[in-house]
Amino acid sequence: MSKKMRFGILLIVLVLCGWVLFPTINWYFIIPNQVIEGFPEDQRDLLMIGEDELYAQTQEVRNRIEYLKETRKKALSLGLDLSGGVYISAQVDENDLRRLLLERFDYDERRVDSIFNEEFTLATDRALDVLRNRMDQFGVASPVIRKTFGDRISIELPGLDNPQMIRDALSRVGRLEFMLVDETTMEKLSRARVPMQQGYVVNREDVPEDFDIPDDSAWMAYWESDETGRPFVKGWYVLKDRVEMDGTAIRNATPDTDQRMGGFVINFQLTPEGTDIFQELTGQNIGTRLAIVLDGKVQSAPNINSEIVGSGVITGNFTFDETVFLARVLKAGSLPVQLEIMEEKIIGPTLGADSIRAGGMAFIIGAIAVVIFMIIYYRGAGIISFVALTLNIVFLLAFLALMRATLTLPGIAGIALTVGMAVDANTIIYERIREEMRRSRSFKHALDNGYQNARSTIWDANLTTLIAAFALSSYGTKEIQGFGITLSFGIISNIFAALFVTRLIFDWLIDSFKLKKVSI
Amino acid sequence: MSDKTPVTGQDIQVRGISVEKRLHFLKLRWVAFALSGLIIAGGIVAFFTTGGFKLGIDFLGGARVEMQIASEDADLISLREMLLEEWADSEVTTIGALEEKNFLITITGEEGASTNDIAMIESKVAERFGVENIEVRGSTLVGPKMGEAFARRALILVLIVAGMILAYVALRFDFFYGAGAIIAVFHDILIMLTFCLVLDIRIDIAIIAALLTILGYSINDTIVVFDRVRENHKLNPDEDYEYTMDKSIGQSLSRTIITSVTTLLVAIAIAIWGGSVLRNFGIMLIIGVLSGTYSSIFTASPVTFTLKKLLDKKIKLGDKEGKKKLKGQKA
Repeated sequence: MSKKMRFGILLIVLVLCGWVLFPTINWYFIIPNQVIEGFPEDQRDLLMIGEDELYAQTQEVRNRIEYLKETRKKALSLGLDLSGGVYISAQVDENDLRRLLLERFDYDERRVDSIFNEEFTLATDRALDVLRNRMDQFGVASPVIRKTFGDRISIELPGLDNPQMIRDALSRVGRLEFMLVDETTMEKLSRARVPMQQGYVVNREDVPEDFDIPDDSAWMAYWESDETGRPFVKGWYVLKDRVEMDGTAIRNATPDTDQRMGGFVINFQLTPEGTDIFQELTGQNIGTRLAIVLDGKVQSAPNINSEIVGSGVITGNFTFDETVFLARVLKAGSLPVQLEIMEEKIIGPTLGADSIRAGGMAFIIGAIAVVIFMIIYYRGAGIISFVALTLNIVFLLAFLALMRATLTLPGIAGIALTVGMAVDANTIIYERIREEMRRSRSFKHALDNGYQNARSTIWDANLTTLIAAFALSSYGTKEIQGFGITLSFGIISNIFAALFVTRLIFDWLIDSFKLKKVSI
Repeated sequence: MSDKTPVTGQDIQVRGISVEKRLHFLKLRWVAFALSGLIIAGGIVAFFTTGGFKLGIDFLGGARVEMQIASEDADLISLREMLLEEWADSEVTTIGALEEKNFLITITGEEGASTNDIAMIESKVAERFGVENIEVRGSTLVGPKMGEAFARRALILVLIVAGMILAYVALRFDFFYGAGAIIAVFHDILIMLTFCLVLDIRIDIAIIAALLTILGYSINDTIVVFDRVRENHKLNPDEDYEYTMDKSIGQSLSRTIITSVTTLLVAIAIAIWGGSVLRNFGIMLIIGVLSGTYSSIFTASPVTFTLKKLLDKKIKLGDKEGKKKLKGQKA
């Protein structure tokens, strides 16, 4: 490959790195120092505004929030151990679930045993739905709720240092309610030419300020989840305040396909008490929509087409995922399970700041010591390895930002260790060059042979380390994962920096400056 | 072995360590095995005298609270006494300088701790030293079930990694090298665990991370030597195997030492400046790097050699004739 082409590749890689890293620099260093009239001192506080309060903000603020969200998504995020916050790992309470299942199946132990694992997973998914639905109530800008190994639920709430709220949120089960849509008001809104879509108001700010709704009705947001499971406001309904029926009336709900019309539907069965209430409700309100509300958030509002006795079908323009989700929501009320806290970590803001300082300090001192050592020991070549090391760290950070990885304290340790190990590839090459120099007259020749012979060693050595690093990143703990991921990427960028970049610098120095050799 | 004084080539000066004469690494193997054995035996003795490994709350389950108590009377003794009344298995240490009054309170228990324990610790300390003097910097709670799962996963992970590395090395080299590499790695892990016992370090997730890191590091070190052995063996297949190995270890010696120096520099920085969370991790890394360097010279190749020799005798393979012929000629 010609030198120009290699320079070209390096340049492209560097530009890509800059592009990938810009949001991170922007988020942590530029935005906090930007002062804009009318915005909070740290604009990032704007993200604390809840989804269903956005309509009350000016267009300018809304645009800014959109921009901040975009930037945050692309920026390298800090782990809880650095940013401070609450981490909770919870699991569906097995005893509680078993008790509920036994009740339902008339204490048939064998039947419960046979379905227990399946029901456990389903209960976990329901609990996840309920928690995600409550995400915005946790009062933090970017909560993360995930399912981890062994059907556990991990909840991360950066910036929160009082766990009581989250403990409460975990102890409460989902509150499922059925409320009628105020069709008269919705009709009025439609006549007032407020933009609507499938019967709901798209933007609440489109509603004229003098538009009054009846006292026994209220605005309620219609929510949907994005691909990451994060709920967002899709539109608005005006609902009657009266709760017609609650989740305990539902006995079971399952997603299904519609035999006649095609498409996806949800079948549901009611309890005996539920049957009576529902029959009366549906009988009197044919043509009206019935909103399914979970923890104060509208999940769906199907139309009542006929009187329903005992069991019914919800049809609509659903995707399969939507039917699965709605079936789970309906069941959340009927089979409320308690969550058991398995692990809880609270990292106060000062502790997080101390960790950043300590990790940064260890990294900087370690890196400086390594660089000084390399320059003393290898002179000119030591400086080249310093350049390679710097680029190595840039590649690594860009990699991490690209993969949306989270930087944790062990992750910083991983980067620091990468520094120590990264120069290893340089050492292998340099020692090999020195050996060749003892044999050969020409430096250029020694350089060629040195790289040639070192290549397979570097690949073998790094690939075996990579095996260990991958294993670390698959370990089910956040901290170790962070460490393993940084180590893995460190090794990959290390191979590139050592075999490609340093060689390029050597060649460039020798060809451009007509050097006979580089001190090594 | 010449030291760092420049070695003059034909017309260029080459600095650095270069091994000119043969160093008999393999002759020392029984001494080396004995030394490693002795340390590990010491570890086994320590295991039984100290009552086994001390596990951190990550594995045992328990609660940990870090708090700053801005009160004159707050010291380790008073805190310990106070906590022992309530929890038999409680432990108090300071973090950072004593004057900073940063305390780390840990309680462990077979029956596990709950969020109530954390609240109770906080309120007891607040009652004693005044609520206004206390800043809770952080807390951790691990349920007992969680701990079990962690420990099992950690063990499985180490075994899987070892198996994968064995497979990789066996594929790229041969089985004997794989066995040598794995034994060298387990040697390092055992040495690190021995020091955990001796230094009274609790095994928590950070220590597992250090063990796995050293696993990778030690393998890396060993492979570099093996690579050289393979290369030299290919160049001179008829050469006495012991000689080839000695030569290869000697040739990669400078690299082995320099890499352990640079990695050690970082490990030391992590241990000193990395704060309380990373301190033990750093200490374990230092021990692991030293052990890994030692094992790549004195354990990996010697074990491979010994195994090869043993199987040579049994199945009459290899270059026994060549060895006899070449013996004495070299060196």
